[in-house]
Amino acid sequence: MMRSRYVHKLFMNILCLLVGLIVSFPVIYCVGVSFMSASDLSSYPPKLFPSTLYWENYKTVFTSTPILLFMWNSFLIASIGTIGRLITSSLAAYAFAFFDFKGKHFWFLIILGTMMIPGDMLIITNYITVANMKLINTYAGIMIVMIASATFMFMLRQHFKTMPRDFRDAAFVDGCGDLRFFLNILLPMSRSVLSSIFIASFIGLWNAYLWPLLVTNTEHMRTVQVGITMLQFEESMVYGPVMAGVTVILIPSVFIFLAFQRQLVQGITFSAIKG
Amino acid sequence: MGWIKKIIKPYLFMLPCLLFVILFTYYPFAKTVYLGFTLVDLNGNPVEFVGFENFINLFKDKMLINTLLNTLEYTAITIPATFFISLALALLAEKKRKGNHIYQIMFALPMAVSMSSAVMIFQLLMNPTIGMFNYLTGLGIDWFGDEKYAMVGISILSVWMGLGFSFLFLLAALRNVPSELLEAADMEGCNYFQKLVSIKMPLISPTIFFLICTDLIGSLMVFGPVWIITKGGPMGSTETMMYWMYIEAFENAKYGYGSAVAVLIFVIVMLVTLLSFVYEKKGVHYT
Repeated sequence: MMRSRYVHKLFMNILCLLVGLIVSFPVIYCVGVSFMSASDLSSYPPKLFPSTLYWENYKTVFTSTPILLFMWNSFLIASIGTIGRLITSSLAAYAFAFFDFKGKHFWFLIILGTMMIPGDMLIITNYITVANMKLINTYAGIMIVMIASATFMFMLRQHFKTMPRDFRDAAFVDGCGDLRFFLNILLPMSRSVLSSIFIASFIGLWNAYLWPLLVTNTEHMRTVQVGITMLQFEESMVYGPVMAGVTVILIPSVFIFLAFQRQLVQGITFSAIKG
Repeated sequence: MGWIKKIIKPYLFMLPCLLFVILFTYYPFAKTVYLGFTLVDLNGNPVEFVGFENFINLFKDKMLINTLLNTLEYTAITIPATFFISLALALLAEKKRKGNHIYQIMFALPMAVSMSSAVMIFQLLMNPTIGMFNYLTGLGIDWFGDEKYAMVGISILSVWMGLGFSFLFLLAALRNVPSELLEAADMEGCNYFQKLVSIKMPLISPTIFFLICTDLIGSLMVFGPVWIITKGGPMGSTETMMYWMYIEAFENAKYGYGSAVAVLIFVIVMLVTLLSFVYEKKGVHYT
């Protein structure tokens, strides 16, 4: 009895591991190809692992493509955009969680209502607006349409609502105003939710494709997601360097994913199930 | 002075968020609808009100039926496939065993890969001559070059991209199923399959509903992989509704007509969402 249960367990573990390898196969393959020379890559049957570690691909990517610039652009957009989102959402969430004012419910629904409108259908008009503001090919132009987020506002508001109102009353007795209570007490107390949102939002902006594609048309303003699909090389067999480039841009997102998996899942499940 | 401050204070807190929401969601929404009824010049200024002309032309355009069918094919493949595969993965990882974290991360890994990276990888993976996919499956298909298979190829890629997300949701939902219920079922002599169908599925149905809803909306708006890999080809076999909108607005510079397409997409998404909420009343079980 003990023995068969042990065998069953072992079997399930091996099965899961195999399935896991199949699911993550494209990523493993990508890393493998990034170390292949052109002859390795064109051999038949196709190889999963290179015969020798061929670093040329990485050299090519870093020297003859602006991938570092792409990454810098994406990093700036994702981090500043996320900070902007945190500011607008937390301020609005504070208003909806702690104040009673006329039309509160109405304005709350107005902001939540944006979840019903798919952002991609708005790109034509947003493009015209951003072009009229002369923001084509600027960081501001890429970020400006993403600064407000109903989802994150809602998450923060739900979180703020769990805070006892006594805290605020006590802070007011001690002479705190709303702004000081918000900055010095409420935000530090909400660190875990804020960090979940930060990560979810950062990855979201880092991975954005359609909008950055539309509002940038010079190479030096491209984000990684757009840039990686447009890498130009002289030789014809370009998959090696391209996969090296993909590996390079996968490293930050996989790292964030592994390090913050719990917060990420928490953030997404929260926003999805409760939203 | 104090009471004025008290009245406007909440609005000041709300203002930044509201301003951006209005400027970049409601205003463009209203303007997109308006532009749908106009002829727009190259700078994006409406020059002439044309009534329903754009919409009438929309229904005469052969792109309509083509993009609808292509989008439908994509949806019909990706939604069931993503759901069943991620459910299987979640059921495999459901029980907490030793080493459980390792394959849980492997199952969720596609989530960490951005759309454009995934597209670049699959372009090589599904390359007809040097790609691993044909070699491992024994198929000899020119995935993105053959009009019969291009949409299937894009769907396979999208299924993979959606796995991590659905898996994590279903896993969280499955682990929330109260163990007392399952133990009681064990006592009654239920087998694994019976427990799955009669206990787990009804209890996770809200999550399933949510996932299918978001996937459905996502599939109706699919654009990225199509744009990067096939540009709508070969022979228009991968032209989707979003692709149509993009081409009309930004390649043909017909902002008005493109806006009409955007409005049509919005109406379709709305109808589908409403329909799925009708289904929700029947099929979803809330405790």
